[in-house]
Amino acid sequence: MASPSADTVKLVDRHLAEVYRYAFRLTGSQWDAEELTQQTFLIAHQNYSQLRDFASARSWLFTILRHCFLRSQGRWQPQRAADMGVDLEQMAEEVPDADAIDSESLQTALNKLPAEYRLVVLMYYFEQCSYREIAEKLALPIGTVMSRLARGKAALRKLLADESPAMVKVSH
Amino acid sequence: MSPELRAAIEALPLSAKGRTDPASMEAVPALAEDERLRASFERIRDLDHRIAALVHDVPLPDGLAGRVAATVASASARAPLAPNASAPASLVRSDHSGPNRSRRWWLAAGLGAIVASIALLAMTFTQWTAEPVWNAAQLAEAAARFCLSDNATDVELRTDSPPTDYPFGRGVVSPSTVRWRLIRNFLGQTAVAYELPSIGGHRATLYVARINLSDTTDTPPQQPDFSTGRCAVAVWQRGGIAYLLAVIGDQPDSAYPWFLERPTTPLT
Repeated sequence: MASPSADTVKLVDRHLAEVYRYAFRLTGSQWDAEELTQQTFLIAHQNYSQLRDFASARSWLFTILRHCFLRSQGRWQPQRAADMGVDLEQMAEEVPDADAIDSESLQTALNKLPAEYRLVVLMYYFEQCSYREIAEKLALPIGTVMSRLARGKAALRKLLADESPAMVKVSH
Repeated sequence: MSPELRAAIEALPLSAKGRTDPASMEAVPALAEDERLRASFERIRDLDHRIAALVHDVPLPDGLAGRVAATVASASARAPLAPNASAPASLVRSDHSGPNRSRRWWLAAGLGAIVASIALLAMTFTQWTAEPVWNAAQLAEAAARFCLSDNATDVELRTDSPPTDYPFGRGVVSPSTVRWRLIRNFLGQTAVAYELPSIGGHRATLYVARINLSDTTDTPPQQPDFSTGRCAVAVWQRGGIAYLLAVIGDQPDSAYPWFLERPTTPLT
């Protein structure tokens, strides 16, 4: 039986804030984020021996967090990839002024993205993963990830633009 | 611009260091050649950097560290590990053998016991000073999420006397045989779950836990406090104990009253 070892305490101490913030951005709710965070650290504690190197703990915890999130999505509210009305061939789109968005409007927009897009978009922005890393971590084809990332980012911009009065019209 | 090029441009890493992959190799020259495209990309890139900074701007709730430490300490001190808990296999290390392993284990166990004691003390202190207080709606919502992933059929239900600290709730239809199980981490607390006999194809579980509630009644409410298409949860509190009645099935709101002491049984 494991006990909350010094390693686990160190893990919580060092990574709690980031894990919670990631969980909050994924779930959009303080309660869900806290539950996901607790679950993540509980699993990390129980499987601490599987961690190769403390330096990779952040990435390891994020992987556990993503697994827990995906599992909760599967059981809680299964979502299929909805058509977000974003056409990749569309040449023009609205881009909100970067200074006009804030943390809350960002979350409101993220909440409207289907979970599979939200996850890919957050892996890009929060973890700063490349599309190849995202594909590897989610075991998805590279083309699927690139498509989801492009559509997810475009949809996020559209949602932010809808909320933000200041925007810049960009044409490609 | 082709969708592939657009996707490649969108996938460009936020920092320039990773732009040596095939997609970047396609996107970078295209941006270099087309001034208009580059200007558009730069505006989008400004926004990308802003979003990348904002995603980390999330305030931490008060007492979070204490609650997480308490959950881990509680699970360590009392519980068998969750059988389905697993970490990604890709990070499994292979150096589990060696002459010093036993010594290290005992050292870690000793250290762990000390840390566990400190954590349990901290948990007790946290509960005295900053135990979270839920309101009924929040607790019911959190419980609904828990219930939907709580698979009672995987667990052997007990029929002996349940812990007296977690008594069956008044106002709920009493089963002829009490079937219960202990849950080590029910929203961060230990709880006893009483399984009620199914009615009309609906499953019902009464969760009993020591959770502080700010606004609730001392008897089961007439309507659930929270419901989804598959799960309805009602919350009440009596004698410092929180009771949560969860009903799972189609139209759980309608089925909820069937599990109260004076149920309106379904017409069959």
